[in-house]
Amino acid sequence: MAAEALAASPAPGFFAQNPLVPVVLGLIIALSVVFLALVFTGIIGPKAKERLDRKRQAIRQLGDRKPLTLIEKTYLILFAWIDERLRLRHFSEQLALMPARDAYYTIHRQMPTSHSDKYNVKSVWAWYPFYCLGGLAFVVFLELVITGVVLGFYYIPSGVVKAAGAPSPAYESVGFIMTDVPFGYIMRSLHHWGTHVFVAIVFLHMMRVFFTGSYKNPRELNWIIGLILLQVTLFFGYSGYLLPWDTLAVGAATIGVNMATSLPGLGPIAANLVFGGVTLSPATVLRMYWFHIFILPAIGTVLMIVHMLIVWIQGVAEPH
Amino acid sequence: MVRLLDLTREYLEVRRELDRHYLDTYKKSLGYELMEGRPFFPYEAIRDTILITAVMAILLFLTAFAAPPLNPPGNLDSQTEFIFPDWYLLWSFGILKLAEDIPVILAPGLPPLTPEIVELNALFWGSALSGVPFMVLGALPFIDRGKERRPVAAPFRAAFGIWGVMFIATQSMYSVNMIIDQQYFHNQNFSFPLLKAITYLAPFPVAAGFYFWLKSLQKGYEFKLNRCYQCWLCDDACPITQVTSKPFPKLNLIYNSYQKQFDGVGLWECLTCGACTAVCPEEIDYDSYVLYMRRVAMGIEKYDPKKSFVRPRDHGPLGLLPP
Ligand code: HEM
Ligand code: SF4
Ligand code: SF4
Repeated sequence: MAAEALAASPAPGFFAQNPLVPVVLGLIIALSVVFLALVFTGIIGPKAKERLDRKRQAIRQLGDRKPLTLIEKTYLILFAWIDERLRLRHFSEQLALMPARDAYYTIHRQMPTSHSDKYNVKSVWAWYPFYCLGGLAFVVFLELVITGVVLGFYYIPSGVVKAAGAPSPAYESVGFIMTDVPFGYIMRSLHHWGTHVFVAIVFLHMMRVFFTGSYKNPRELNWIIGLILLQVTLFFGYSGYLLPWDTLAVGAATIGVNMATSLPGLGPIAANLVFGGVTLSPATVLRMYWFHIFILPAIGTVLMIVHMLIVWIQGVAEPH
Repeated sequence: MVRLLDLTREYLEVRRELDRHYLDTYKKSLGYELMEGRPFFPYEAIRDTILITAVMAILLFLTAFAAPPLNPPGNLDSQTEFIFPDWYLLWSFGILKLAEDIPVILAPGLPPLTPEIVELNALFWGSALSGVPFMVLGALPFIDRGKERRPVAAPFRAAFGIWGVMFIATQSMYSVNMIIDQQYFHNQNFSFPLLKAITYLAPFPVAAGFYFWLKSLQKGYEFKLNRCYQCWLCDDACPITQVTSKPFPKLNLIYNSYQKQFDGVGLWECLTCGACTAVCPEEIDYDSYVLYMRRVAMGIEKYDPKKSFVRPRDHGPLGLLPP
């Protein structure tokens, strides 16, 4: 009898093994219910904001004139969100009907004289030099592009070796650059140390944006673009130091490929894409090369230009 | 597509109408005014030139005197030597090591993509947790929606930032725990719990110290001066400015008492009636200031440049009570 009952009872399930999981799930569900209740009663969320928000009012008015389809409404909400941040409506006004003088002042943007300027408040000026870091990051990026182009003439993206432990063509070409190419040593040195300076400056730039609260409305979009740029920067560095295919490169690549494959499901797919397989192989060098000299520069350059264009449109946030 | 373009045009029209209405009703005087500016040249140009030159000097110094390393050729078949990533990835490596404390969990998988049961081990947790900082940063502008931008005015955010930077630093430190152990503890391994405690705990006192330092700065004048939003309530309340015909500069208590100047009401013109003090939202005790400056002028009291005339305001222990 007892043996039968034992046989009939199901094996201990996932929740029994991990009792914390249902507690956490329950908490999440309870919090979501409270949140939704607050939104529906109009204490927080869209209803509460509609009174103050002219972009919502405008969309409501358009909907009253003629019912909007889901696509139209989604489009309008997105457009209004971006318009609010990038002042599209002001530019559209200027392009169409504004006198030339106003257009001149908008295009040749100047630093506003705020009262901190007028009253000579020193605590704002203490931050002032840090506002240069973004531009500095771009300058160092240009330096990296120029030296990288020179290195590209001589680097061979191949990890194929004749025998185990023998230097690969990639390794040998880096050695060749450092010893035989005129000015090759200094080009690689500039490119190497430029990377360190670049990463440090991008990180400091992010810190200045954080500590001066410049990521707030209306600059959320630029903060997100910046975050993508940060990841591009880190991946630039990582893919770059795999290229010489020395012991450091192989060690770092091993950690990277192990990290990628440890994520179930998508991990192996990502590893196949980025490292050219779930284990390291000579293909890894070629993959990293292509990321380093084409994909990342393409994404990075476009995003940097968009990033700085948005700064130009919105102006720089002064800490007030 | 064409419909969407029409819709855009309609939206812009409606929106402009609403803006105009808003300006008419609430902000009559504002309108679209051209802002007077300070040109980019020479101020920013000089600053940028100096800083670019300095950074390039550092870069060239490193280039000339520190050789870019080239280690022995890599060997895929026998990688024996242990290797650390570059400094800017050490934090992630530190998370990998700290994640060794998280217990292994067996979770049901999604069969076509993964095996039936997946093992969530330290490597998994380390890799997954490396994504957390990016998620926190991405959510930041949507969580922190307050208006204050300056660290002094938003000390909690600044302290949180310091905590984050410190935690990244201590994680990076923990990632080289073996080297620290070798160098300073002669391979005893007992240093690991100590280093771990430092990693988790050290950021907190630093952040707390920063928080209280910023809180103390809030009492200063500089902070107040920047807070004056030129509401001109003081000017409206003052009986003297009602009868003197000085269109500009207006009375501005914070500016006057900070810069030791009297732009709206002269030192001996003031009635010290206290009307301005009563209305200033930033609580500048202007009449006491005027009396003090008169005593200084008569040689009765010694001049103290640090003396502040901000009326103390009690916001409760954590600054949580409304003013
Ligand atoms: C890849 C390199 C990057 C370049 C070349 C770059 C460039 C710039 C420049 C030139 C500015 C103008 C103001 C200034 O110089 O401080 C700026 C502002 C800004 N950056 Fe970046 N940036 C980069 C990375 C980032 C990152 C990683 C973040 C944050 C995650 C970020 C977020 C922002 C934000 C929010 C602003 C607007 C700040 C304000 O208006 O005060 N950027 N960026
Ligand atoms: S105290 Fe002096 S400055 Fe202030 S309202 Fe009275 S007269 Fe004007
Ligand atoms: S009343 Fe206070 S805040 Fe308003 S303008 Fe005068 S000094 Fe500034």
